[in-house]
Amino acid sequence: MPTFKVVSHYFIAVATVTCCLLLGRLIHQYVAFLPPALYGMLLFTLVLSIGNSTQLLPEHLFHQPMSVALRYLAIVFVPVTTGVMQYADLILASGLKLVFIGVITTLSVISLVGLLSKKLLKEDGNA
Amino acid sequence: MLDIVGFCGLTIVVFLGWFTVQQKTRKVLLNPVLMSLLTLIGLFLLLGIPYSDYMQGAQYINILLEPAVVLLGYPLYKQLRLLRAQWRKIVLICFIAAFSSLTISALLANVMGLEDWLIASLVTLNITTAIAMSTSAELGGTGAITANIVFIGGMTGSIAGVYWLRLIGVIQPISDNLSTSSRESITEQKALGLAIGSTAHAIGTATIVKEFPLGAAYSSTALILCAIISAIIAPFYIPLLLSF
Repeated sequence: MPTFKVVSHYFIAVATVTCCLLLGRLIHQYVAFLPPALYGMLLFTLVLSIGNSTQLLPEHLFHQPMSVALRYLAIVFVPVTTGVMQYADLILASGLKLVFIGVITTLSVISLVGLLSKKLLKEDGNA
Repeated sequence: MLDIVGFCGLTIVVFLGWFTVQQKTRKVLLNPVLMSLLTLIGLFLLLGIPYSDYMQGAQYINILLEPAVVLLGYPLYKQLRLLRAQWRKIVLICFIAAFSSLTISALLANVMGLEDWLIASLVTLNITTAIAMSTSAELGGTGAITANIVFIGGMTGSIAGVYWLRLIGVIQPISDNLSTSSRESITEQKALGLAIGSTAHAIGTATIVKEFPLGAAYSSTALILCAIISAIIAPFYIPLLLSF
């Protein structure tokens, strides 16, 4: 039944992501080098690579759940970004400074990375 | 219980509404998160609802912030093949991008006399929101400020990035030249992708995906690599930089 198949893919994806996150938290307790979720992300990449090469967890299982989740991912940032309303005083006092820093930093890094990449990646054309 | 259903439901409805609008109009400025936050803030100010009340309900969406970072392992896995060919150079470029973004933003903020917690909240402006928030939290920053300043970085790169790269000669003035598959244009698309991904993260990647598909693949590689590198170096580097 296709519906059951789809549901099972979502179930496998949620279970894998949850396990990676929990393991990430565990690793963070012993080696606090990276935030727990970032350990989780690297573990997830590792699980996908090993799972696909051994065919124990082939990549196609994750395809649909991941494209849906990544498409709507940004919703998780809405409550926290709305929190800026608590900082009205700060925005009035330093808002322009923050925008200035944001714009100048971004344009400087874009220029640096753009020029550097063009120079560095030039030799090996179509890799 | 009513709070949870009401505020989570409101967030979902507002977000999906703006998401649909952006899908139809394809305007960068109509970013669904930006428009949702403006709509919600307007609504709460109008109805006199404090943020703490909203957050009591919406905290259940916040729980998903950590799994959202883990999900990024999927695009990273998909980009591994791309990385394999020139991984040393790409990692070096992303390291320089992350390092210079942290340095320039921290120094500018310091010169302008901003407080330490505010500097900690803004130095991660060029990395993807989920990782920016966890990194700035480790530095003593505030999530609400970080998430908003990440927008400023994303919007600047998305709106001005491609024009700027044309202006300084990284890519050719006429976009049609990039659609040819000459060696020159492939290098230009890679440079464009790395520059946009390492500064304007997911917002920038979404903006260039249609015009520069190869650039967008490099952009998503850069956005994840820069986020990982920043998360690794920022907790050591920023306090050291600010101590001078």
